[in-house]
Amino acid sequence: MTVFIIRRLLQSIALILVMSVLVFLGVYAIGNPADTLIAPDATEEERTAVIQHFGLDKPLYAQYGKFLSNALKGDMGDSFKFNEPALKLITERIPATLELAFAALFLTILIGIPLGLVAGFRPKAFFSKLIMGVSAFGFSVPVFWLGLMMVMVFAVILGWLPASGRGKTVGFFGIPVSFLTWDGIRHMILPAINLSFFKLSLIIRLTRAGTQEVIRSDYVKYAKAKGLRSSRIVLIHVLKNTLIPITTVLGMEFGRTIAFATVTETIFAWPGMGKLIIDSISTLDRPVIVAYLMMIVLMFIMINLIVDIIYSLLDPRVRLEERA
Amino acid sequence: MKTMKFKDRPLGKALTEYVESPMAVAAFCVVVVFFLAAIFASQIAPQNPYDLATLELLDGTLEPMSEGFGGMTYLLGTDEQGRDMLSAILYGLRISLSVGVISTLLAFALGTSLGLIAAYKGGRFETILMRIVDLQLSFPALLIALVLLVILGQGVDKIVLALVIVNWAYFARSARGNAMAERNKEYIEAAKALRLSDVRIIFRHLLPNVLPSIIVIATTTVARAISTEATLSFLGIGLPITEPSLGLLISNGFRYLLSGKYWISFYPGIALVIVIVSLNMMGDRLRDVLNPRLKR
Repeated sequence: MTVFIIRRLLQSIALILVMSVLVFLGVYAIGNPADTLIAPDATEEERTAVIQHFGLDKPLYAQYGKFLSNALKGDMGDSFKFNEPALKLITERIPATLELAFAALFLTILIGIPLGLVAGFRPKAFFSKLIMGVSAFGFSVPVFWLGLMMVMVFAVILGWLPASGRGKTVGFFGIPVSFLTWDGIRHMILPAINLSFFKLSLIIRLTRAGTQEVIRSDYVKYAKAKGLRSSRIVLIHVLKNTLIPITTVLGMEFGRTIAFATVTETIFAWPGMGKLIIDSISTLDRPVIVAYLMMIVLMFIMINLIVDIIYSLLDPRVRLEERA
Repeated sequence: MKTMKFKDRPLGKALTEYVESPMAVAAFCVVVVFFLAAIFASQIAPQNPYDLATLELLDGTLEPMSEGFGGMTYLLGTDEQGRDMLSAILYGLRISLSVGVISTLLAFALGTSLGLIAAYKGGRFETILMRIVDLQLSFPALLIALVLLVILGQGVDKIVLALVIVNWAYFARSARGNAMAERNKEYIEAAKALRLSDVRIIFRHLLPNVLPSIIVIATTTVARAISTEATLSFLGIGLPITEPSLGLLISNGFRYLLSGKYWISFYPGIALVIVIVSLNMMGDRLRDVLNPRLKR
């Protein structure tokens, strides 16, 4: 077990290094940073001074080494636009994105699992067919289009909910959050539903498939034969056994949620890191782009590592396969 | 084989079964109509939306069905430059569909070839290729495309390249998975015994037998590619303003949506959703028809 974890850990570190080289080369291939840093009317001496100051005259591998050692110290350079450390800008916006992502995940579980159970128990009922129709629709429709329609209907035409921003925030252990104020919750409803829609469709299908499989099993038949209340059968016998695949998928969906948060945040002007990266791309704010990409790579590799380790704990066959 | 009736042959059988679902037939018809509309956009559009001489600025942001100064009726309204939205949608459809189809064909060719070679050759090549595929599929497609476009910049060629890089892995995984089941069968052994070349065995013997499941993936990949392109263009990092796809039209109309001028965004969005949903419905039906595991 320990060997397996150490091996996966080493693989992850190697992967982070490879990705950092790719991001470094990729972003630095866009253009010469000296052009953006130096005013066009600067003298030749000023030019060379700036180039030397940023180490741009050094060979590429030396520049990469400097980038890497700075990155390890938590220094990803300063944003051109805000004149603040890029990493600070991003970390400041992480809570907003995470809050939105967790709200979406919460909605997915709260709505998706009961609807999936209903559709699984009564596959022929009209309501179940309606649920499955909406879920098929949610699977193929682009997230951003759905967001626009929600803005159009609920914010512009009906005027029920605000369409942009985060609303009033309050400190929660020093982190500003929206979910503790009524105004914040009102702002969060539309983006959270938008972000959760795809996952919702997925969870409904998974729960339905799981339920249909489980209700045919012997232990559910036995529970029925014992004369247990159907609420007990649903909650204990069926739900518990369908939860295993649902948890796995939700864990892996978390990464997708962070990726699609860029879309939702742009539509609803939610001040998270997804909106920051889109703004930075349009203003060519290179340090912020590099810092964001490295953060995302790090986050994904960590998520994959954790999922793998949990898997190997749950399923010994994974470990055996690795050894073979 | 020659004496068999059309409906008994594999292709005929699949087609007869496909036609049994009216929804799937409707989806197919919609897709055909949209493709024809895109191909003949310059013939059927009421105006050339990108010929500045034909645009009337005074007709800016007119509501659907309103009549402009030139006496022309704008069925779906106009944008802020007096551009007929119906024409803009037809031209946008052309760009969106070609990006989707071309990128899928390239990803299909690349992914399927690599997947088949991996399954046939095995060994180191297979291990490394499948590691790359697994690694890539563990990242969300939107994120990879976003990173690539940040590095590559904007442009039709660049978004096609990004979509190929994002989508080849799905084809590679499926081609290899299906070919694994085929590679030990007798007809491959027979072909080897005849000393046919590897290239011939892979593309004339293996490929036709894994094709059905790959066609299903190709159909849904076109839908996904169109959706991804629209999303990236909406975010302002996909296509440049000179190539107004449906996603860019929607993005352009977003500002006006908040002031109640819904049609600039709404109708291109409807066109996009109809195309994507129809393609996915076709893919679903094809999966039912072509998947041998679901038979009987």
